[in-house]
Amino acid sequence: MKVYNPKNIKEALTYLGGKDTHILAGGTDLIVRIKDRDIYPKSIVNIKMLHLDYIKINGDFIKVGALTSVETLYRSEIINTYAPVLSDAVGKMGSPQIRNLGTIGGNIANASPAADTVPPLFVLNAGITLKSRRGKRAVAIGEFFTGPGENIIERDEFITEVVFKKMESDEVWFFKKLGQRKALTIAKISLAFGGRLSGRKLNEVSIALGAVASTVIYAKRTADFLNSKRLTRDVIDVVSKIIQKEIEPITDIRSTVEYRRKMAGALLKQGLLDIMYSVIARQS
Amino acid sequence: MIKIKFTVNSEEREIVTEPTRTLLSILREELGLTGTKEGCGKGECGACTVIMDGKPVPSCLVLACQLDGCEITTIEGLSENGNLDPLQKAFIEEGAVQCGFCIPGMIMSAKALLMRNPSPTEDEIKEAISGNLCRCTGYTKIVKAIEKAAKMIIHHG
Ligand SMILES: Cc1cc2nc3c(=O)[nH]c(=O)nc-3n(C[C@H](O)[C@H](O)[C@H](O)COP(=O)(O)OP(=O)(O)OC[C@H]3O[C@@H](n4cnc5c(N)ncnc54)[C@H](O)[C@@H]3O)c2cc1C
Ligand code: FES
Ligand code: FES
Repeated sequence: MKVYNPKNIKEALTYLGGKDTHILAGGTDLIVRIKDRDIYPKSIVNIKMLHLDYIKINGDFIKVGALTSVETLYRSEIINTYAPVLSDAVGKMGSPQIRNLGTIGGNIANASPAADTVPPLFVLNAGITLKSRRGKRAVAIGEFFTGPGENIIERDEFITEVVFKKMESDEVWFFKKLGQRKALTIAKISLAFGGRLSGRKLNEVSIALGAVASTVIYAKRTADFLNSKRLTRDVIDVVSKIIQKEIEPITDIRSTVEYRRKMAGALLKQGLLDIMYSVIARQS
Repeated sequence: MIKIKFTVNSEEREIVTEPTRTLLSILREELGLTGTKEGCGKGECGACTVIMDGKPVPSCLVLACQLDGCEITTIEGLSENGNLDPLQKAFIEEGAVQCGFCIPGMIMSAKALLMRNPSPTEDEIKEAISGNLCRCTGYTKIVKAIEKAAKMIIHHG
């Protein structure tokens, strides 16, 4: 196995394109797959030295370098303030050790339907920046995944940056994850929610679910139902049934169809009730 | 083969090795630092935890090609002039060790926590060791020992 250690992006791009060439970021997915003999790379491009570890504010946008670790995201004031839904999700990932090594670019590129940064990035409508010798392109996260472990990255490309809009003060959000236990757990189901609230009325609702399909998915019908609705117990009861009808989960080693359906409803209900009660508390 | 220069327990090291060799294997087999243990080899158990540039990481998932210029601390690097680190003393005094296999990793996670946060709450301690599995103790005494070490450091510097 040949290992390249490029010093800049331009050099890195010259090594990409081969069939069994893999990018090494934090290695928490890649090294495990090599050890499990799931893949046999001919060459590895170690991108550690590319200075892609940053979180920047750029006007209304936040730019995160692909090599930013999950722990850096978790401790970032910028993420905590402007993308709290992502902040919450990264706090529920792996263990401190895994969070220190694992990167946002690796979590996205790995394309697990249970990847924890992805549902929040769906709700933030993030753009993924890819570079190759041919140039640069941006792809919306909602169009990035094509199947479990599969995405639209071409062989000669890699992710350099993740970009999303700052959340504003009228935006409400939550992230819920259910697993076998608290630490080191792959989601059986996860749900990220975002929307705008004026009084008790919701708008611009976005809901993304992890681990219920072959990729992370939007629950679009459910979100549409909530748009321009006033948050009441009745609305919440109805919508928690709609989401169960909208999704088509699978049974696998981690969980069953029935459990996932029920929990999608329960997680949405719990999150929306919390929002409703906090509005009521503020108003009285 | 590649040449890497890095610091292990405050000592400069230069070694020539396979780029895909793990840090765990370099520590144990090349440098003879066998305090760091291999459990699962896949990031799940924390037995191989070392401190890399101030942060706890599983050394079973770090490759040689990622090490150049890094600073590594292992369990062997904690005692100074024959004096045990407060964490090591507290683990002994509290009887927090049974078979001992998880303890080097456990102590390195705790050390990284105390470096960043000298007076952690019980919840912060539990969070910091959430990636370290112990099959023997039930964790209660481990948490107590870490609380005790934090107090020892604050009182005696
Ligand atoms: C014990 C353990 C617990 C875990 N817990 C969780 C969890 O709770 N939630 C969760 O979501 N994940 C979890 N993971 C998975 C993993 O830690 C994350 O997916 C992590 O973010 C991957 O990042 P990395 O930098 O380590 O990726 P790597 O292993 O370096 O790379 C992963 C894949 O992406 C490719 N890649 C990496 N960077 C780029 C890039 N910039 N452009 C293009 N391709 C790239 C690699 O070639 C590889 O195929 C866990 C893993 C372990 C071992
Ligand atoms: S041996 Fe490294 S985490 Fe288990
Ligand atoms: S003391 Fe035996 S595993 Fe922890």
